[in-house]
Amino acid sequence: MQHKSLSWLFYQRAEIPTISGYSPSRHRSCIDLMIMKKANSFHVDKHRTPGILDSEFNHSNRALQHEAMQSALRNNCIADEQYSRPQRSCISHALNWRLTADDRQAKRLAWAMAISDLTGCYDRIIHNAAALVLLRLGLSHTKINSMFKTIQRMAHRVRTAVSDSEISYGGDDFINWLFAPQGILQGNAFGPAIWTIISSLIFDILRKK
Amino acid sequence: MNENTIKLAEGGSQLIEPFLTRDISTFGDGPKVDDILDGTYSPPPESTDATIAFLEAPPTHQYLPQYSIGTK
Repeated sequence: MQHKSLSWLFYQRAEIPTISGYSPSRHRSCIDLMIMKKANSFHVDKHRTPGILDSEFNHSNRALQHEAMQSALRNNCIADEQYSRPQRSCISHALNWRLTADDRQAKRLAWAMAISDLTGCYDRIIHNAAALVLLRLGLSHTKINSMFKTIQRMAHRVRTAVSDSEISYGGDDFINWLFAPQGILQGNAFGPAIWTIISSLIFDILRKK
Repeated sequence: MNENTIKLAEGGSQLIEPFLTRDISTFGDGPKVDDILDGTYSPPPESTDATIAFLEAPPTHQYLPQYSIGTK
């Protein structure tokens, strides 16, 4: 945008939710995009469902992600085992795994490795647990509240190859539920950083055992 | 099926149980959050070892002076 005053105005408007802890209604809609995990596998439970979020909401989440990750790195709060961080890559992880295996084999050492696929880990993240971890990193309550309030009150529609569903789930319906909706949604720009930080804490706890 | 994804966490952690949400709240702004961040919180007796370990954060997660609990 070329107009400086308008740019400033829109920037300030976009900052209101994170400064105040407010959840704008325009942020509280999500399209669940159903993508097949395997070609021609049409089973409903075999689909990946990333959420298409409001662009302004996700832009704000990206800013939070940057702030949290920088703070975590600065304070050495990311576990050594965690490769989901700047300056590291999936390829490095795979290479290190291979080199470790080769090293053990060359030295004829007994060793074991446990590999697990954490199914639905983003959907299982508890909001107050994530909030505690983020507070320790210096994020403010207003920023955390704004994001989690939005996720908890989000109305979801499902997009398939045919069209978007007319009926939705979520929204303010959860008031009648036993527990508020949890999880941080696949497609949330802050999601990977939250998982990295929480999993680092879990690594720390496991190391103490 | 899609609705289940936002309910997956139910039953998976004590942190959303009433005996802890009254202290922490749903968004981490409950009355005892300051104590948790300061390391002076005593978890309720119903808490499991995993819950206690999470609430008593390990040393690598030091409490930072700039955490802004007062800005809510």
